[in-house]
Amino acid sequence: MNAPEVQPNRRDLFAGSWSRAAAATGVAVAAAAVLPSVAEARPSGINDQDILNFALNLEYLEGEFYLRGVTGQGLDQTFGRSLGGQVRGGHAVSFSNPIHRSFMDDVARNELAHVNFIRGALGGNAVPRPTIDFNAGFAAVAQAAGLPSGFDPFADEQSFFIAAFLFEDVGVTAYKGAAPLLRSRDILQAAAGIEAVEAYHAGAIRTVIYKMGAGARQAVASISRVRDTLSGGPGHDQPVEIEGRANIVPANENGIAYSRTAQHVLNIVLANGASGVTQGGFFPDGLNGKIQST
Amino acid sequence: MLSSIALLSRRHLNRALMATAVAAGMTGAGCAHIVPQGLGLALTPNPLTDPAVFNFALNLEYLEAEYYLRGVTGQGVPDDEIGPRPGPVTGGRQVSFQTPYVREFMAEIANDEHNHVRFLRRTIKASPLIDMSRPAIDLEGSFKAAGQAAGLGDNFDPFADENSFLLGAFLFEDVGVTAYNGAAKLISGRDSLEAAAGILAVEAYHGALIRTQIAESGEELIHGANAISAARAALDGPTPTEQGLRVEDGRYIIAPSDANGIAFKRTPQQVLNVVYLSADQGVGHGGFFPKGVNGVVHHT
Repeated sequence: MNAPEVQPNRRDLFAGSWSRAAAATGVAVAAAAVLPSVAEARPSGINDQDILNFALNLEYLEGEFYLRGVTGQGLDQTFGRSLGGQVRGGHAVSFSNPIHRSFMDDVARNELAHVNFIRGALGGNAVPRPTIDFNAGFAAVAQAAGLPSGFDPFADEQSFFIAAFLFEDVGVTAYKGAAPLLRSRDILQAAAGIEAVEAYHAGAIRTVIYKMGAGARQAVASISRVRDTLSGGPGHDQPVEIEGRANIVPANENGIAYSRTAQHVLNIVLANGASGVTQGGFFPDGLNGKIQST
Repeated sequence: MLSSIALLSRRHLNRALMATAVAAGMTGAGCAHIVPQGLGLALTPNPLTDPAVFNFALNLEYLEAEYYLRGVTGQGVPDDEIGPRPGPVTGGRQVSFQTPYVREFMAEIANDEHNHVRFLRRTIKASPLIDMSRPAIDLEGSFKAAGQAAGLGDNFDPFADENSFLLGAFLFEDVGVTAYNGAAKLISGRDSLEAAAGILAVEAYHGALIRTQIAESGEELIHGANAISAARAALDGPTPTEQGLRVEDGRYIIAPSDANGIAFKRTPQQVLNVVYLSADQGVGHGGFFPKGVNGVVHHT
């Protein structure tokens, strides 16, 4: 139960049009006090393409993670050519539970489809895949989260689910944060549809982890704390168990999921809570495109 | 589909405007063109205003909240949160859960849906076109009919036991996702959009929770879920809106989506086809809503 953040910049940006729009549309803008915290105002010079390219970097990351874990092969083998930078780490996971393997297979297919879709939507403006390093990225997260040193997300089924936990909630908050910044209604529609799919992924992964028992729950509780710390600690990240009860859905007191700004998402994937950072964690050479700094 | 929404909504809007104008003492041929001041109306190219969209959503949230709250606690949405003119709820009773964490899962969903009801009631701006009352809800005959359509027998009762409750839940959650996803393009205000995106995400988390639990609960439940998914698809017309829990090649589907990995959407009319349990157009009530839903969008 956290008080929503007040974002004075955003309110100034929209104040004029909101007071007219409020009368016209009847939405109680004064209820901003009970609405979830809003994403930052869109920085000048950033357009829909830049936002999509930012998303594409993250989809490359997820796509490589799930494809490698499920099939042992990455995006390049699937596409039949190099999509960009080198990918370090990742190998096929030995699943003990065929249903869990099937879940991850479905996730991998979806992420592959996202990469394909966003690249198609951007055409020649799509950024290539940046260098991705799962070894460095997970080492940084594992260390900060107090996971056993030498944590290998691809070692076994439970490790793979714990590692996946890192990505999926972040994907949801990223798309939710981006949605109000998009200008094109068609791109917004696609973003909403992808956000929903990322939330399905996150829900499944969180449920499986919960049912894996105390060890898995504690591991993701640590990762959740790390995410919160890295991204400025607004307390918007939630573990899968709170006060001894299942907490599958990270949501506020209105039953609404949280948003993250691009900067906070970058804090997490670059594994660095400072601002002005452009490299580190999973992206040793940084992201491609205009949105690349914490 | 969008043009039929526009047609129905304009008709309803005009009728409501007429009623308001007459009530305000204005008569004569010109009153259909009068836009009463300060009533929060915007006759924009998209005739569904944000409040109207959220009013539509509120009906579904009442349905989910009543289902989950009654199943988990035996009691529905409190009396001071269903007015001004609430309809009755038929059916629903506390489920005897065998598995403690399944009860916790359902309690968490119940809490979220209840919060959605409260949030929407608090943030939709009142106007003559808005009706935040709980509509009449049937959790008894509706499920029997749905169960028959899905091959679950003639007397499907989701409150009979834990597994039945999971199947009943499965009926709602994907529909909620497709409903909010379908509303994304209809919403104009940025804060409204963010709220809708946030509720959309939560409904998808719920959907995955239920899909995951059912997938791990054995063949009977998996087949039941597949049948419910197919029955929904049969109601809402030819556009793809569904993927079963397990498809022909034996793969499990966590996130029902198209070839681009994008969740399906339903128009309000398609949502009503499912919850009224009718494949016909122009239907105003039925299934889970024996008197129809409240607000300006209420026909298939």
